[in-house]
Amino acid sequence: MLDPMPTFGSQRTTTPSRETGIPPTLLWIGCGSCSGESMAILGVDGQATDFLDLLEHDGIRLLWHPSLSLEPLAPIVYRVLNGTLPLTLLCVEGSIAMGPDGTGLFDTFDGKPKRDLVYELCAVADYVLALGTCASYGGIPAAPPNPTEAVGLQYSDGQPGGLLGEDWRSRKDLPVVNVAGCAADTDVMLLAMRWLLAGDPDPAQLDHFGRPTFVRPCLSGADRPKCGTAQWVGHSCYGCISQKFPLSRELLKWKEARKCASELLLT
Amino acid sequence: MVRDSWCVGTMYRGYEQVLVGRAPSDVLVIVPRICGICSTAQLYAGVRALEDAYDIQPAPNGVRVRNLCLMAEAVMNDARQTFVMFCPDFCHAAYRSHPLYDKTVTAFEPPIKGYFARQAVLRSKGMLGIITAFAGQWPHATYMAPGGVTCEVTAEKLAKCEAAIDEYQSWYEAEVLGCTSDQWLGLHSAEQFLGWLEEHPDTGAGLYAGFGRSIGLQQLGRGSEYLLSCGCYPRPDSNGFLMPGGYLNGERVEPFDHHLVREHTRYSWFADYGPTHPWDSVTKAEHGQDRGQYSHAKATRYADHVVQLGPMVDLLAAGDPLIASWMRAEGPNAWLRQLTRLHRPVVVMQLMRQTIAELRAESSEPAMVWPPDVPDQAQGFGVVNAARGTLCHWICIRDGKISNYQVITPTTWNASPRDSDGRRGHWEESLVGLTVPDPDNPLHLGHIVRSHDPCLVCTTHMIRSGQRTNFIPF
Repeated sequence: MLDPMPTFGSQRTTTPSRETGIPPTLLWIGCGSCSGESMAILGVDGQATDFLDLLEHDGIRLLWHPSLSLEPLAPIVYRVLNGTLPLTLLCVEGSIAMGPDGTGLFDTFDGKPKRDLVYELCAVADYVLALGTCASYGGIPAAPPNPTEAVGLQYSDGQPGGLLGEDWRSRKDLPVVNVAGCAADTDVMLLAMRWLLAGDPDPAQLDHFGRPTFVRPCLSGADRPKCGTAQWVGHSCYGCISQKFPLSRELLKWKEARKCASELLLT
Repeated sequence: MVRDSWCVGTMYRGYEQVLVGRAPSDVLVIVPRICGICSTAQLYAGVRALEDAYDIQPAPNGVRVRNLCLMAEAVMNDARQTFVMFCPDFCHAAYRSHPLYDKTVTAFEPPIKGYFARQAVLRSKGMLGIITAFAGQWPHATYMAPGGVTCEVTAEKLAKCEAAIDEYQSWYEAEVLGCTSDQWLGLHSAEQFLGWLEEHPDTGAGLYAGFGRSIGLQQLGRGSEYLLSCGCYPRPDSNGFLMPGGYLNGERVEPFDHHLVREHTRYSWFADYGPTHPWDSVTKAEHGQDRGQYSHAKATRYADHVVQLGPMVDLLAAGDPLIASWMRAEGPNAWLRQLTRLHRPVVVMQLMRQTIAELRAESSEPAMVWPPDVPDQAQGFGVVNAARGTLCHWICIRDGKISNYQVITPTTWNASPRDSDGRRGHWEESLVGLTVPDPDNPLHLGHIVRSHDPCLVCTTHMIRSGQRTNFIPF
């Protein structure tokens, strides 16, 4: 059988881990997700970076990714869990299903609850990134009536807690890094990974919802620090970096759209 | 030899339940997020379900902008699915002694190391620029609303879209096809295609087609004889589709009628009320094993038949000569499914140019008509064609709120479990009788399933976790 561990990018290693001298590793797990971050990280026109940069310039060794890897996940997971394969960055995408009735069986891997696997992987990773609002806070699956009993990694229903609990810290003593957004912005995801890979990330860079300070609202910019959704598409912002998304109120305000509707002639 | 198969959807996310009780306009925010790969299609299907419920027709320019974005998503997906997700399987060590192995590794090596894999990712970013020109972000934007689109449509944006198509087409012709689009579209028969293949063995399409045939993909994964396509890209006047669809029942082609759709939950982890039309369906999770349930996916049936769908059927139903010729020659199979994804972008880019030309010609017309107030009671049906096939949404509105919402994705059809009569779903049926030389590496099984561009998210994560355990107990 094929060795399940090809050594990707090993020739281009530029940032070996300080202690071991081996390339940092990345494992990407999809939970109750739409794969939005898996797709977003491949890049969209106009963004500065994408996943290729991370693999090729940062010398990351990709252990597994749901859309990009050929090998089965199980052998890799078991080597990570038994410590023979060090894990630098664990990227979790999608909400964590605790249902039905707390069993976790709404989302399974190899017949067992995925949330148990994620819990064990979090324990052996140097750093854990929650990519997107679902993994961070539960996202849409956690909206009322929360049929799957969905939670985020370290938050649920807007409160600290979630799968891991408020006091959980990674092996390198950092809480989960919540790259909120729906979908999380490509550049911000890369920025967060590089911030961790640079070593000694300062926990003070995380706000009270575990977000790195460089997480910004959608379509914001230097000239427009607030969410740019309304100006761009005519609807109000629906708060995708918020820890309670979507809000239980009606999600769209139509004022801007109504205005646009009267002006939507080609110019 | 595979004697029987069970296709297991291992995940349930409850999106339909989250929608119940909310304002109908919330559909526009929530449904795109069902899928990060086809979020444009999800938004489009949702907005069409609302328009059907509100009984309004969208502004033709609104339809054109929607189509342009949906087409861009399909072209993007066809490249990424082919070169980043399907062809990397050709680099498996089991093919090491194949004479083309060195070439396939150079071209497709995972993860995104092979030349074409890298190119597919980089070039398709430009295609997504067409969506972000209108939507701001991809995936998951809300720029459509009942009546049209809420974003601005400017000459500048249209110029940007056209430039993106020019750039993509130049790459596609030079490296994937090795000929002009017109020459490619002149290949009307299987024989003409094989002639082309002899002359272009090292292009992206040639390498796929040659390697794929050499390992016998054309003999794999026949599956259901009943083929379904709703049609692709609604006409701007809301009268049918630019590429018509249909239900292909042997020799006959019948119009697609959503009233003939039924959902079965006999073998799914949902309460079983017998076969129901989605407007009447209740999605109530029920996690027992008492009647042999094994999937979080429902079993969907059309006119009481197990059907298959996807781009191959879409182009066949639309009368595409090349796909029709191959279907006559070899029937449905994994090779042709995947070939369609290399062929479709050429067809769709022509439609994109036509759409831009129409938007320019009609530039004094609005892209939005303001919709009426939300009706107290209504039901609606919306269908579009996602990159991987027909996508249907059904909505029921009661007291001004959503009282029921049902989504049937392309993968739901293809990956459906057994129905109330115990009939296998299309994938399950495709795999029975397959010879698997090495059960530890069921490569052919992977080729068959991946030839359907399995939506890893809409329905199931089955192939990765379950190849050997859940999915196919040998």
